[in-house]
Amino acid sequence: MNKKELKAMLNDAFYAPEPEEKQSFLKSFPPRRITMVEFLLQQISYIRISSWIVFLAIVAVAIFGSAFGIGMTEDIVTMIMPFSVAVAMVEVNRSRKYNMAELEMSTRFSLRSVVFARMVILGIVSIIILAISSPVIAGTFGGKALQVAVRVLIPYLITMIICLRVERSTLGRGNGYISVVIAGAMALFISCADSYTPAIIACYRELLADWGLLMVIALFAIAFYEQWKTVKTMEAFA
Amino acid sequence: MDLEKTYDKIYRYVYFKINNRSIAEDITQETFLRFISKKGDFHDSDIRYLYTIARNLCIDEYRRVKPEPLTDEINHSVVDSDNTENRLLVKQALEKLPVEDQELLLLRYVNEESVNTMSKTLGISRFALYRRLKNAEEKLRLNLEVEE
Repeated sequence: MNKKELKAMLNDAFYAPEPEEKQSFLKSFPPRRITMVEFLLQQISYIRISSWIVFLAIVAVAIFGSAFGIGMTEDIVTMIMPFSVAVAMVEVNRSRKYNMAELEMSTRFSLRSVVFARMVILGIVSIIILAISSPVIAGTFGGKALQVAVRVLIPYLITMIICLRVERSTLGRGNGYISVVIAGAMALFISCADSYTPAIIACYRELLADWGLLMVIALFAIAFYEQWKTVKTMEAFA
Repeated sequence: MDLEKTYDKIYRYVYFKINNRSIAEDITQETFLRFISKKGDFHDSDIRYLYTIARNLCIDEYRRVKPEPLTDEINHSVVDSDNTENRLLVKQALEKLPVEDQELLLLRYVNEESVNTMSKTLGISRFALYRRLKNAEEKLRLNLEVEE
């Protein structure tokens, strides 16, 4: 007799009749208070596997691209990083679309807090991706990790700002995957810019060397403002 | 902590000790109410306190009324079963074990408690728990062979 059989057998032997007052008792029971960390961890479990695959793919490209010395690794990471914004926006949209139906305790949290929690989680994940990718790329191809991070962050933040603005518009509310189109357009723009507008790109890189960090800070501020506006208007959409 | 799942575990544990549905349910609810009045909130690690409260309430119940060895409810449940004969055999084999061993098997295999939770609930070391569990399983297997 193996453990599984033993378990099944004991389950049967320790039979207990169905309690009659369980549901009424549990309903009368005050809901459990949960901490912010627990709430965030709970929200992590609702993020789809496909979203995690996209995040992992970005890290994998950075690591394997650097490991095999593929010269375009940084450009590829810069191009695919906006898709992490698209994934985040799809997740946020999902919360809105289903009115948090996936949440067991939907009555305990507002849509606003759920959306905010998801944005925080996905933002943290993006920062982790960047924190892993930038030193790896910088270590392999030379340069400073901060410079790589700045180069990757600028298109990422611009995509985020555009996505958040569009998501709030009628077009965005009507189309859950508009952010994927925006991320795709950004990736296409990055890939074409080097070939078709080399002078502008050279100028941009010079600008980044001097003002890159400041630009990132400014874009972060705008992105935070846009996120705040999105979260603020979220209740009205629910 | 999944409250409903926890309720089922405590209720099953109490029912095992009391063998009476309504009393088991009363004790289960009393366990939760006592816990919440003291601690105010639930966390995953709190289940061992619930077991302790439930066990103490069961002891109080034993003192209050003398327990009957077999109630109608058990017979009823057996009659309802599709696999009556098999269940009866296992039940008989289980009843030959000391109550402490039965409790161990219930907590580990039916309520699926971790070794850590169990050792803390029962106040014994993990090593002692492993040994006692192994012994209980062995004895149950032997009893089953005899029954068959």
